[in-house]
Amino acid sequence: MNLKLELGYIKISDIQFSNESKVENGVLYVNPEDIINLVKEDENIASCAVDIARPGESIRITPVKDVIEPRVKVEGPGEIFPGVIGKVNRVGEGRTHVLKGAAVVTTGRIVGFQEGIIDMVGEGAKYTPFSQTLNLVLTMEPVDGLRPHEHEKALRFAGLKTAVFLGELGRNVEPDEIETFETLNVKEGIEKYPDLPRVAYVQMLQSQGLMHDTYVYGVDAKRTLSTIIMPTEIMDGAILSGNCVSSTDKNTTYHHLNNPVIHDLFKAHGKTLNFAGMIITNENVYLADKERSSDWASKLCQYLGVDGAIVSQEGFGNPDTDLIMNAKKIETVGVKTVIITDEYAGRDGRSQSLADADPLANAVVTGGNANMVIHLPKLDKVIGHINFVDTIAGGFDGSLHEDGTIECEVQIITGATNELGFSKLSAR
Amino acid sequence: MVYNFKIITNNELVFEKYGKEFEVDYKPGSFEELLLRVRDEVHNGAKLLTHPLTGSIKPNETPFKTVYVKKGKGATNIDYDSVVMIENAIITTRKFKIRFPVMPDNVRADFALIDLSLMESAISAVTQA
Repeated sequence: MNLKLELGYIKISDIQFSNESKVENGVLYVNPEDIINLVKEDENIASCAVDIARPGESIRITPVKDVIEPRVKVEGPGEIFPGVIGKVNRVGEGRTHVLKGAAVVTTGRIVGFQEGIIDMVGEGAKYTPFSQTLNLVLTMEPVDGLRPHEHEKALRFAGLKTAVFLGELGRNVEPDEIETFETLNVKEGIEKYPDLPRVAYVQMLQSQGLMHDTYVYGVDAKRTLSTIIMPTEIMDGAILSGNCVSSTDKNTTYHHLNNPVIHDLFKAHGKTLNFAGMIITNENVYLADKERSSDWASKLCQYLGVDGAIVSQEGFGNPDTDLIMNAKKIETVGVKTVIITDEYAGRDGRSQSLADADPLANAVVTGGNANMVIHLPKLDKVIGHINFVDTIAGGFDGSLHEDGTIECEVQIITGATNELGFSKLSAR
Repeated sequence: MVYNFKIITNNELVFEKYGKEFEVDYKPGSFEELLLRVRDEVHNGAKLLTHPLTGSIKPNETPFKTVYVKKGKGATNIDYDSVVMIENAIITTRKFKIRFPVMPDNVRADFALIDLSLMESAISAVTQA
């Protein structure tokens, strides 16, 4: 039997505060007390403010921790974010409703150099996809003395719980559009499309430690070996982000849920290629782990007998080494690769882009140069803490000017050079 | 227990946590100076056990860096993969300009904690090797 998931998109045209939380006629009504009560179930959170930020409004959100799309499982096994918010159970089949156009954005000061800006208007809005979503923004403060590990976890769970709460409001709403994703097993795929090149997707997950973590069905990815996962599982929240660094090229939970590599491979499936499977692998700090994980990823590609593989990276610096190891080893077993990364090529774009390289890694898609300098205007309202702009990636001493404008590198913006290609930078 | 690795760091927090149990070569200094110390060890035969650019925090943000190396047997036994990796890390680091003439103490402490956390994620693997 095939794995089939239907995504039912409920198009959200506005978010408004109301006495009752509900979805009606495309409007997401939220009672902020519902959210505050939910978030404050966690005694580690002292306060929570709820704001709405709409596209075009003069609002800057910073520092952004995570962005999450509200979804609910309406048919089929499991619940959204299995092993974390939902019970441990297989997901990726049946039907899932999506509040399309809405997002939960979490902010909060975990450490003094917290990252990420979303501008809803102006120059900065051009670089983040989340200037186009209707955002429910949670600004949370911890109780005194909460350590960064616990603080990160508290904010992560608050965001997920809120997204699940909002998703639940769409359970009985008829979707505006339904998109179906079907995964054939290996045998059926080969029989059905004997003449099409078989392509795998290898997704690298950030997994280095505090504020650099990703969870798969609730398991810390650094404790995993490379494995096979169904792409539709990811649409139900099997992978979620605990990653708070390098905002430009980290994958938020929203990115995972909407992974464009998966969506594009499904679009091409049966036409120009046969999407033969998906492999997830980690990015650990220990070099032997890098060797082991890339060995394993290449072995799985070899075993699946694919003709090509797309490898996407997450983050800056040492993941370049994982990326190149993956590309090199997958090529060595006779599988063509294309890597997706971004670049730190200096402000003039003339420096070496990656911290590692190999002649076998000869096909690349880039998310852009994260060192590019941009100028952000003063906006009327700041949600969060603007004083961190001086100390977050891409900002620099004095980057926050007295008139409220900011001179910075584009890497300060959440999702600007995303390495899944979920971004707006293009050479076209 | 005698281990065949050592910890090279400019992070006092790492020294405090591991100094009694393991060999920790701690010296205050800049991020780049730390990488140069690692390079010197590599030129003397040490093999990198952790990546010199651990973490996605940029080299001009965090002042702290810790690297685990397998102790070398002298300059006649060079691990060339380690040479390439540390040189690439130094090149990458020099692309980023220093940004913090004065860093607030709380931010410094957070960077130190993150560096320690990243290295904690590898310590059990290193000690079992």
